[in-house]
Amino acid sequence: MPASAPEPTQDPLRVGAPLAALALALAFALAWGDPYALRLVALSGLVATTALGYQLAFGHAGAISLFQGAAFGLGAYASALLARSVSSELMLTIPAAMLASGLAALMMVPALRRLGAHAFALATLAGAEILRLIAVNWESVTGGANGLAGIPAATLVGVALPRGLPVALVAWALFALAALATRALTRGPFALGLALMREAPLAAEASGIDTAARRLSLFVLSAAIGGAAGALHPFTLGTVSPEAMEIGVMITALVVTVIGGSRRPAGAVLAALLIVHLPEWLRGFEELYLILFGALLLATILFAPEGLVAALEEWLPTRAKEPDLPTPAQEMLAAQPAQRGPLLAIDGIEKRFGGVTALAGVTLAVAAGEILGVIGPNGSGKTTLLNIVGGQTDADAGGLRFIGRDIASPPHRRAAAGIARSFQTPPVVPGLTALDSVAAVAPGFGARMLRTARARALALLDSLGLTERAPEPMTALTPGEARLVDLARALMLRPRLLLLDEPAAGLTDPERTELARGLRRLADHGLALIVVEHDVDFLIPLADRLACLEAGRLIALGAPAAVRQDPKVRAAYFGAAA
Amino acid sequence: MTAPLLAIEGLAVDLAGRPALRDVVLAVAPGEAVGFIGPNGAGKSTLLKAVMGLVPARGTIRFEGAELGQLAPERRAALGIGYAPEGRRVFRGLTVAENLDVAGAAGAAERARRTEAALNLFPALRPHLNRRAWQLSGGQQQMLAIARALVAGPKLLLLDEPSLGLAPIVLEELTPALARIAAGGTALLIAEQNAARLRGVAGRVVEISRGRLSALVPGS
Repeated sequence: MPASAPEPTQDPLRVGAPLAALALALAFALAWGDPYALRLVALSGLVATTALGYQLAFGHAGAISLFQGAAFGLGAYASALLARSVSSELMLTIPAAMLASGLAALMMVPALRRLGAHAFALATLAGAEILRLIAVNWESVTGGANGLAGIPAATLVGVALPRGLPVALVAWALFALAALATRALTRGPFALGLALMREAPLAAEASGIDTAARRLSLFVLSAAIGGAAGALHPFTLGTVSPEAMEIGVMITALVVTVIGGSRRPAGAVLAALLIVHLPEWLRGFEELYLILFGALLLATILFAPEGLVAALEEWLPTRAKEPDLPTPAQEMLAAQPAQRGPLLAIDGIEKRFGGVTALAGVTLAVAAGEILGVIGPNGSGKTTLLNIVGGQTDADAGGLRFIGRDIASPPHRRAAAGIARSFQTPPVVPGLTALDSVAAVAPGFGARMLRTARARALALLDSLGLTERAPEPMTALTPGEARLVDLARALMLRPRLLLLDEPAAGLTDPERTELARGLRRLADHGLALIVVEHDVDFLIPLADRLACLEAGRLIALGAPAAVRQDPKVRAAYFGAAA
Repeated sequence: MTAPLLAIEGLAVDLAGRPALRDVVLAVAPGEAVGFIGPNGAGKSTLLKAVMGLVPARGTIRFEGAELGQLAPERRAALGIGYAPEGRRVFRGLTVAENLDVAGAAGAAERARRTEAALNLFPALRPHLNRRAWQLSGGQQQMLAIARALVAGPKLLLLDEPSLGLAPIVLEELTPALARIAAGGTALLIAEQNAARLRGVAGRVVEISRGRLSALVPGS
């Protein structure tokens, strides 16, 4: 199984990660019980926790944040300042540090909203640098380059917590707590939706997933967890200095996340212990140390590209597990509420791309329960029309009304309002099965919601004749099957209007017949469908009305037989064959 | 009979640990057009990929009498095997003209002649020569993928579902055009879902089912 699949059940290292972390920490502490060794164990716990938080942004949301080190440092300063002036109670300093780091990340959100991968990374790095400069230069508060010393020992619920074993235990307990608290986010439909979002952002948006909101909220949460880890840092040393803010902390979090595995809590444990202890183990090599360290890092990336945990799993005996298919839910097709007037009204839509006119004033209406077929030569604007209704492209002029209202612009809002679509090139997320590609668009967190989502997804795949293919990875499906999975994904949203872009392409004749029957059944239940298709033998018997576009203009609209005979349509589209 | 251009014997391919092709035997003469039909997942695309060297295969594939063995895809292309994969694989960031130009190793005059021929086949591409490929519609990208394969001037052209996403009026042109290409001496292997799409092009239609060539149907 690919390591990127957020499959929760069959992976012992993931299930036991928090417990294993504590056990490992204890073993280390008992075996090397001197104060310096214990400080390293505590530090490993903090690094693991910081990396665990970073996994949310980097691994799950696919956001290359370079802020995690600053979040750690800000947490450390917040905690140290509180300890010196108010109290060193962890029940106070940890939440305060989380708040500080979370708020700092939140303040960056308006700027980050529209930034793509590289600009996002640079902007977060700039935010981190600002925090570091404040720590160095605001001497009256932060102590400047020297930092703050004399930080009293921590207390936990009033109990004194001396340095050494107690702090080390609390550090690892914090990791276990963070792992448990984020469990629901990293399994379940939400996590599947994140996989869809990383690999196929357009399809995720069109499935009602607000990709920006998910990415940014995980970024803020990852910073808050980094802050929590930072909060303990002053109590391991008794001091805090700008070193806690420097880029080295960020690089450590990044390295731990890459070599451990970017979505693996157990990987954070393993890699954090390694990163913190390797310098000690390699100390004898003196100047060669950095070279050796670099070589080890490179070797890991080369031989375990999915991280150490995934590589270990290859070696461990895995229990062969039957694909765990849920019982299909009773799907679904509730009759749609009655609708007076058109469900969708397209009014004078125009769109130009550079010098090319894609749509030159198209006016159309679709009623509930109607199948509107759209034909036209290649490049006549058919897909652009679907993109404008689906929200993937903005029109230059003209209006859209859905259920009598103007429709909100972002695609995920349109999906929520009841407009779903399939894609000409269906999204294929490498780590996901066919079943999970469909379940990914369901709302909810955690394992229970995942079962519900999978049951619904299976019912939809079943209705499209894909039950046997449900447990297969998407990469093993034929293009035709991937197209049907894409249709199931769209239906998962329980839409009122379905936009289909060449749904029959790549299907065999029996599959085509089956698909036509299925689409007719959807329309009978009140769904409106707009179907762009070149296979006229498929489309003409299916469609209630047929529209023909040529060079962005509607040249014919009406009963399929009449449109087929229209001389303009014959000249532009059918040629002599019709 | 002339020596075959392509001779496949005992070809077997496994994908993800499962047999995808078994015991494939096929000989293609220069200028011959062979069509493959069969349901989704039967192995049509896999057969084309095996000839191109894109999937690991057992058995022998000889091209112009020479065993291809483990030869890399780009070396096979240099020998004269062209491939237009399913799914509109064009260089999205390049212009249409650049897409056509990357394909040919021939001299400028010969390339210009082939480009002209490809554009006559797909006149819909002509107004878009200076646009980036990603700005084309899906069907236009499909035309571009086929045109690019033609400009390379292959002796054997592998076409995976060339009709996908093309308007009827274009398909009507495509059939005689492919027939002309074959008549000009380029052998064609064409995978299609629909046997009707091969009518007038393929001299032979081979059915693939569950990874085996199951029947030879004379073309019309």
